[in-house]
Amino acid sequence: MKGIVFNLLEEVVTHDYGADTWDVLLESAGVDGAYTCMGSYSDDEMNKLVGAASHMLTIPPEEVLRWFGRRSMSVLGQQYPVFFQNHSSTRPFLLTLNDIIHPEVRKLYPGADVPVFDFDNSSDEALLMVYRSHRKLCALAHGFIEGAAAYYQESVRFEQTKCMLHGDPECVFRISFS
Amino acid sequence: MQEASATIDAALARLERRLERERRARKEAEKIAEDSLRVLYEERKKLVLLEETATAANQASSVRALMQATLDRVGAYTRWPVGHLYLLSDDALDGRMLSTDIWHIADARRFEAFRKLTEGTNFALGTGLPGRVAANGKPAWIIDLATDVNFPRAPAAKQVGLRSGFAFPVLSGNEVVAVLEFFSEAITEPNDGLLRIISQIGTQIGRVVERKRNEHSNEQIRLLLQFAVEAIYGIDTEGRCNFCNPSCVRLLQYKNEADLIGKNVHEMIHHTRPDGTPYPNTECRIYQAFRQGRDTHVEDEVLWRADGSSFPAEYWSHPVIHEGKTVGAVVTFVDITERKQAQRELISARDAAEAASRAKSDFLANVSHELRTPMNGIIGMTDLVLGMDLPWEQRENLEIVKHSCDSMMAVVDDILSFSQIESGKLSLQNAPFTLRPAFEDILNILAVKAARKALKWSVSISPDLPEKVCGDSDRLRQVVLNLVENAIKFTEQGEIAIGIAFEPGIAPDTQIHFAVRDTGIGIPLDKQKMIFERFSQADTSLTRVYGGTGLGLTIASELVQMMGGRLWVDSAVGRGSIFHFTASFALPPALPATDEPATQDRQLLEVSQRMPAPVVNHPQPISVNSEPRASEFLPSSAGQNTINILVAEDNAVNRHLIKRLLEKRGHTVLIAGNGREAIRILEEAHWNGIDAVLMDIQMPEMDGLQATATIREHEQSTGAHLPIVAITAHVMANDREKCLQAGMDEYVSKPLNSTALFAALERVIPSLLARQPAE
Repeated sequence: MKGIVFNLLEEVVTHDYGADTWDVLLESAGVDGAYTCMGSYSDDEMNKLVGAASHMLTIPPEEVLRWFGRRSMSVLGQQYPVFFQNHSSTRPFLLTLNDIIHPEVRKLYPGADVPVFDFDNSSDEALLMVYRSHRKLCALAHGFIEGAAAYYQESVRFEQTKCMLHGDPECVFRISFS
Repeated sequence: MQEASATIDAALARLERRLERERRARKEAEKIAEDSLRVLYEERKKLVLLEETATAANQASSVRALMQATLDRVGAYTRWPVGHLYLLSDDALDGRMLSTDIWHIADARRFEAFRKLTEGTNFALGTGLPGRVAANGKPAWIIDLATDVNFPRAPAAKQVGLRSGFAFPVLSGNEVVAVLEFFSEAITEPNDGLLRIISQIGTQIGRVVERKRNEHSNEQIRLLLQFAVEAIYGIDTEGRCNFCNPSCVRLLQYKNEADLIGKNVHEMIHHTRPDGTPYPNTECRIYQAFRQGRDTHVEDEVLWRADGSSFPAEYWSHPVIHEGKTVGAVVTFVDITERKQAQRELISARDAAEAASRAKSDFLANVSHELRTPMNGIIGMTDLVLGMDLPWEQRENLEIVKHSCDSMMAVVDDILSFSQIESGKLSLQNAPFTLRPAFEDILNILAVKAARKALKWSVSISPDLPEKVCGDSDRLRQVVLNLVENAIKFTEQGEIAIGIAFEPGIAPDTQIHFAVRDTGIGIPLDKQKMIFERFSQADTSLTRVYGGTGLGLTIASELVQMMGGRLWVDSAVGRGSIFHFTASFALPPALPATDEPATQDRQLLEVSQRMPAPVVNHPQPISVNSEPRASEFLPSSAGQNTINILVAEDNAVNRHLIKRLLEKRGHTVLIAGNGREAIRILEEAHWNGIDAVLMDIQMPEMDGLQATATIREHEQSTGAHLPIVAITAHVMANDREKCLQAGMDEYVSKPLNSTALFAALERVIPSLLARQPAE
């Protein structure tokens, strides 16, 4: 996992809970904590950090990831406004993930292992989105989507019909906006 | 205080840890940055290599220089010490890669052996490093040359310390036109980045090679146009000139190309026809190339020069088709003034030759006429005297005169036949005749000649010979006469045997096979072809012994060919010859049976008949025929069978002869010296009382044809028909036609034969037949 994700986590934790909390989190997770955005780090370090936060806050790790996703989206919206400004709502923004946003991520961070989503955009009512990744971070994706909806000031109804964490081969989200 | 101090310590420790994390993160970032820079540097090096190769490619004066530059650039980039170029074999079909003398070598002496081996090897498609690259069209990398299964030069490479190698193709389109290979002294793993970039280089220099090739062929085309003797120009579909070569400018006498380019060529050089009439471009045959999309070739028009003069030209116009659409034409032309001149000269030479040939032919006909007229008198008179009672000695002398005349007539006839064949004037008649008597008549005469030389004589005629056929009986007789006379002439003792067989042909034709065998001197094999050629005899020294013109067999051969057959010979020297000929005849449509006197002598020709002993003083040479004997030439008492005959003939000797012959049979003869006199006599007789006219053709004042025409014209008012028999020494093929066309009823040729004369008279006045005395 690229150092940028860890930097993002550090930023939202420090912003919401202070630098000391980040320090405590690193200590309790037992990780080194020196992350540079271009570097690559073991997925395990992220799992340890999420686990430690889950323990400290007594909430499930999925909720930690969902919070992280939701919060980091507002940071990304400020740092990379160009990807957001061209759209007026969440749905078209999400549809540019595969073709615009992730290719740009790969350019900036050579070796970034970003997921590819499948979309079914045929229904006006809801967007079907399929997520497949060995990291199984569907909760993070859930948070990102909520964060994006918040950016566009939309409320989102998120329904996960399949989940790899529950033995499905892929995760399927059914998302409607209002 | 202690508590506060502990809190501060903890905060300091946290700060320290944070600083430590920051420091390590920075170091890591620096390392990443350094690695990235290195990657960037490598990428830059590749870009520089690409750029340098591109520059070299564009600047290279030749493909060779380009290849050398590429080898050097790639060699410098990889720091591999050996690089080499292969080119596709000229015989491009087998795809073989030929080693060249183009190398990039770091140490010439060290790699000498490897270089020599490589230059001495041609790599078939698929073989070795260059072969497999040529076969796949893709780069190839050999990590360890020593263990590769398809690297024949491994021992030599090992010897000079080369360990790894790679090669890449130069592609022109899909075709591998060259292969560049490189070798390193260290085992080297494949480098994807390098392979990618050399692929690009291969494509890039491939494009340059292609461009150079095009430049080369463009140059060739330019030279071709520049130095072509033929004038060549191109026009668009409006007829405007879009290029022209120097020959075009020169032939049309313009100063330079610019005088023609962009202008309407038809209006400039093709505006007027050879006859001076305007030639509208709507009819222009050059335009046909793009108007109808097909090639045109014209050689009967003229083109016009800048100075307003014209010249006869031959031109070819070919449509130019671009992407399925006709966009114009390419025109090639040449000045054919000289050729036309030569043609004119040839034509006039041919006309002169034909005129000379006609003159010769006419001359021969005239000579023949001039010879035959006096001969007619000599032979006729001799016949007449021989018919009288003569002392033995006089008869013998006269027989010699008669024989000499016959020989001379034979020569004249030969020359005449030959000249007719030569001039193509000989045409065969196509009249029904009875076949067997036609043979018998002539063979009976020849039997006498054979008997005189005491030769055994046999004739075998196939019983299934058709009775009547259509054809030219006279010419058939002429051929038989020639062959059998030759057989008799060249045979001193022994036998003449004749066989006539019927070979059924494809209906309605039938084929006769005639063969005459002699026991004469024979003809050597090498002379057998020659004897059918003009004026030649088998042995010219024999000419003195055996006379003749040497035309006989030529004439016979030509005649037989005209009769749809052929003439050939089997012969052995000293043993004799067999001459064969075949001839085709049409079978006449079946007719009701008629009185046919011709079969009367059949019994004379039985198979293997032995002729009687020579008859020395035979009173009539044609005795076997039905000619009455001299004693029967007496005035007849039967009045209605003697008639009044008008003879129009300018030659006094002939007049006398004819008169005597006719009077012997009791006819009354009136004489006219020319056509006008004949008409006068008829008029004086009120066109009455004259039963027949014997009419010579060539006469002074009014010829026979004119006189006949006058008579027939007169008869138009009366409805009468006076029988007219032509008597003429004109023996050219169409004479008979001319006579019949002029309104004559029969035709007898000179020298006059009494049998033929009376036969002709009997045909026009059948009542005369009745008075024929019995034999």
